[in-house]
Parts: sequence; structure tokens; C-alpha cells
Amino acid sequence: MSGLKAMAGFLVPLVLLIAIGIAGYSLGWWQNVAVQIVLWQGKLYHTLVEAVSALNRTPSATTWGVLLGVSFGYGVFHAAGPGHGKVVLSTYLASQGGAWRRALGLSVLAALLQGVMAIAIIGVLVFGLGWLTRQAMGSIDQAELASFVIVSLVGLWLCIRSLRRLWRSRHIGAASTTVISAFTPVTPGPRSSHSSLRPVLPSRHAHDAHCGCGHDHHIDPREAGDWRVALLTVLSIGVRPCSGAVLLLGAAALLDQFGKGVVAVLTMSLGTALTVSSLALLSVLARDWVKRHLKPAAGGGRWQAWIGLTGGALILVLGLSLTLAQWQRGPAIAPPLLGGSTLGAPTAQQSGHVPGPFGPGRG
Amino acid sequence: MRRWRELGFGVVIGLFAGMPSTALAHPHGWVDLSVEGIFDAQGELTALRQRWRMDPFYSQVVMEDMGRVEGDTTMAQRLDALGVEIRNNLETNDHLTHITLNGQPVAQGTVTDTNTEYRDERLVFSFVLPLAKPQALAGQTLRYQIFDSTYYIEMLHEANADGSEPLPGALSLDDAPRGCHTRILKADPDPDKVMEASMLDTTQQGEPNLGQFFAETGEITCPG
Repeated sequence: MSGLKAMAGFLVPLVLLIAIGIAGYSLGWWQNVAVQIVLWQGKLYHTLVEAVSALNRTPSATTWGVLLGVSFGYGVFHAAGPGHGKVVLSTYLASQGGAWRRALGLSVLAALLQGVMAIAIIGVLVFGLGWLTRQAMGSIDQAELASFVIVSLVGLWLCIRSLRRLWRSRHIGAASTTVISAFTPVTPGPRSSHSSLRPVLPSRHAHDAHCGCGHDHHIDPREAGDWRVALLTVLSIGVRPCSGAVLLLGAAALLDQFGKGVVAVLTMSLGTALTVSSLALLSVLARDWVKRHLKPAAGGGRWQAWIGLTGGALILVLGLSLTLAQWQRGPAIAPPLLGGSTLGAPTAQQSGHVPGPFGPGRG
Repeated sequence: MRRWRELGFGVVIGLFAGMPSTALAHPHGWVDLSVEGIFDAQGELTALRQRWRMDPFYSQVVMEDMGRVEGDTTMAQRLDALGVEIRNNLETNDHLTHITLNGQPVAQGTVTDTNTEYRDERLVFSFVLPLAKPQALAGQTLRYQIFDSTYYIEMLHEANADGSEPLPGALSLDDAPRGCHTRILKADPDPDKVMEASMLDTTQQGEPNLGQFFAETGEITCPG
């Protein structure tokens, strides 16, 4: 009876959510919101450029305030159209576990890293190596490719990890599962559930070095692996700076306002962090909610591993398809405006190959 | 029970995985357009004279380039060379200009009178885009759209400060027959099509054509 109740408690909101989603799509709400966000992004970019120019002309508390406010807003809305980074992060969080604190930490780190990367690209390439801003912008494409490759690596890593867990849990076979199935842990996390499992395991289950029961006894090596893959996830998202940020910094540097540009870009990152972390928290909430309503039954560790595998596979497929697409792009799409200068092209990759009108390309 | 759980997770993950479909490109620069319809003595439209004012950041970055060109050329010469380059690039994609007369596409001729200058901290590129043959507009409406299909650069007619109204000079006529008038229509993007285009964009299966949906339409109508 209580099981039925729990099922209803889970299914009813889920069905409602899906119904709202379908209704939203078929009635065109999502599409309208998407269009609106694009229009806002365009407007915010205008305002951002104007704010930098205004601050350049008359530095005052007001012009500073406007610049910071607009930068923050730009960050919020720039992140509102979810890119691959947000998908990777939320899939990672939904499938791999982790507390909300970690979700918050990872998303803020990723957003800040994006800002820092933009600053580094202009700082190192333009100031350090004397590149043109245009060429530095072309390097974003390399950063993007790197980002996609790292996404694939994250996916691959997660898959391998989950497969190893699955293999281990299969390895121990029926002996332990019969015992475990008698016990239904209600604790939320996979690790804590293991620790609560341990006391009821029969004594014949010896904890020696070859024990592959899916839980680790000494210093949890998974913990270290977790952090490595978490940081890799952050890197995969943060390594590609927003081209708007790079352009802003480049233009600010040309106006001798690099410092102001840095402040603006960091504020922008905070805005991005707000959006990304909201999404990350949402995915953790969704995951916990599902988990709460469906308490781990038999083979808790195994289905956790299956979920992990699914998430890892999704990330891997996303990473590989993005990498491939990026690889195949190149000269196929003509840059829209100033061809040779390629500044206008999201596919600025060609900058290295096509000799621009502006002398030998260093990009 | 376990199947339900997996289903639940599948749905949650699916919700997030489905989200790249809403990842839209958006402008990272803009061009302020002015267009002038040029008529000949017979009252037929012969060309569209266009002036593109690049946004301040874009202009800065291009001017940085210009400043670093090696050799003894003057800035005016460098800008001229840039103009030639831009013209050649634009030639390959119909100058980003799409002209129709009563819904039928109108062919373009070869661009003349290109000029590139740096004025008021903006890079300004202007040119005359002739129609392949002059068109009598009597009783007809000629429409054009100018856009970067990737929507990396937003191209809109010159407008007032908050961008709500195009300036009167944004679309003008030269030597037009009496009674010809112009109109600039704002973009009214169809959300479904935008969504569709952005999906093509993310999966790289087709030409991204987002810019079209956000493009304004200029109209020149002459009495019959």
C-alpha cells in the first residue's frame, strides 16, 4: 500500500512535468522563450558595447555601474541558451551522483574558468605574443575543439568506471545479492548505503584484497577518481571562452582599458555561474527526487552503475559527435562577412589557412 | 520497480540531453545598414546603394589589423585594399542581399563604387549593388533582406537610440518616379522555424539559416 502511494507520489508529478513539457512545446512557449532570449542577447551585446564606450569616455560610478550590470546580465542570458557545457554538467550530475554543494562548486568553477580563459587568451596571445585580436579570436575554435575532445574523454572515463563497477558486481555473483536483496537501504547516497550494508553482510564474505563487491574499504580511490573526472568536466566546459568575452577584452585592450575589460568579463562569468549553477542544482534536485521516490531495492550498486553508464555514454556520444562535426566543418561554410578576416565567422578555423587581407596570418 | 527507476532516470537525463536543441546562435557583432534605391531616367530601379556601419568593437579590431599592415601604404590605401577584399568575399554569397520582385528572386550585377572608411570610430563599407537588369516597379513591390545567415552578425537598418524605430534615412530613394514609397518591416521570427533552424544548427545536418528569421525586410513600392 505504501509502495503504491510512493509510486503515485512519484508518477503523478512526473506525468505532470512531462505534460507541461509537451504542452509548452506544442503551444510554442519554449520556442517563444528561445526567440526572446536570442533577441535579448542581441540587445545586451549592443548595450555592453555602448557601456564600454561610455565608461571609456567618462569614467564615473554611474558608467561603471552600467557596465557591471550589463556584463552580469549578458552572462546570465548568454548562458540561458544551453550549450554543450550545460548538458555535460547536468548529465554528469544527474547520472554520477554528488551533493548540491558539489554541483554548485563545479558550475561556478566552470563559469569562472571560462572568464579566466578569455582573459588568458587576450593576455597571453595578444599582449604576450603580439597576436592580433582577430587571430586570438580564431584560437577560440581550437579551444572549442579541445573542449569537445575533453567532453569525449569525460564520457569515456565515466563509461569505463561504470563498466568496471558492473563487472565487479557481476563478479561477486549471487552470493552477496541474495543477502543484499533481503535488505532495502533507504539512505540516499551510494556510499552511505554501502556502509549501512556492511554490518549485515555475512561473515563468510571476507574483505580481502580481492574483494570486488563494489565498495572500497580503505581510502576510497573512487573519491579521488571522482574529483579527477569532476575537474575534467569543469575543464571541458571552461576551456572554451565565450567569443563575446574575448571580443570585449580585445576591444577594451585596444582602447587601453584592459583592466576594465577584465572586471567586466569576470562579472559576466558570475552571471553565467548563476544560470549554470541554477541548472546544475535543478538536475541534482531532479535526481534526488527520483531517488527519494524510488528507494534502491535489489542490487542498489548495480543500477547506480547502469545509470552511471548511461550518463557516461550520453556524454561520450555528445562529445564525439561535436568533435566530429567540428572536425568536418572547416572551409565548408563561408565566413559571413569579412571572409579573409574571419572575425565574423563562428567557423574562424580557416584563419590559419586562408591568407587574410591583413598581411601574413599568425593565427 | 527497478525498471521504473531506470525509466525515471532516463526521463530526467533525457530532459537535459534534449536541451541542446534550444542552444541558439546569437549575434556577436552588428552592422547598421542604410540602403538607397537608385532609379534611371526611365523610372526603373537600377541598383541598391548600401552603406554598412560595423559595430565599434568590430571596427576596433579591424583597425588594429589595418594598423599592423607592413609596407609604406597609407591608411586610405589599406582601407581600399580591405574594401576590395570585402567585395570579393561578398561576391561569393550575393552580398548577403536577397532581393525579390513580387516574390520572384531578382538577379544581381557586379558591385561598383566600393568605398571603405573609418569614421566616428566605425568602419564604414559602402557599395552600389546593381540589379542584373533595371526593373520597372510600376504597380509592384520590390523587397530585399540583408542578413548573415549564421546570425553571428546582426544586420539591421539604422535606427534610433533604443533601436525601436528605423531612421528615415535608413531606406531612401534617388530619382524615383512620383508616388514611390518605402517601408522597413521588422523581423517577426516564427518561433517554430527558429527552433527548427537551431536544431539543424546543433546537429550540423544542414545549413544554419538562423539569420534569415531575424532579418528586416525593406520594401520599395511604386504606383501602377
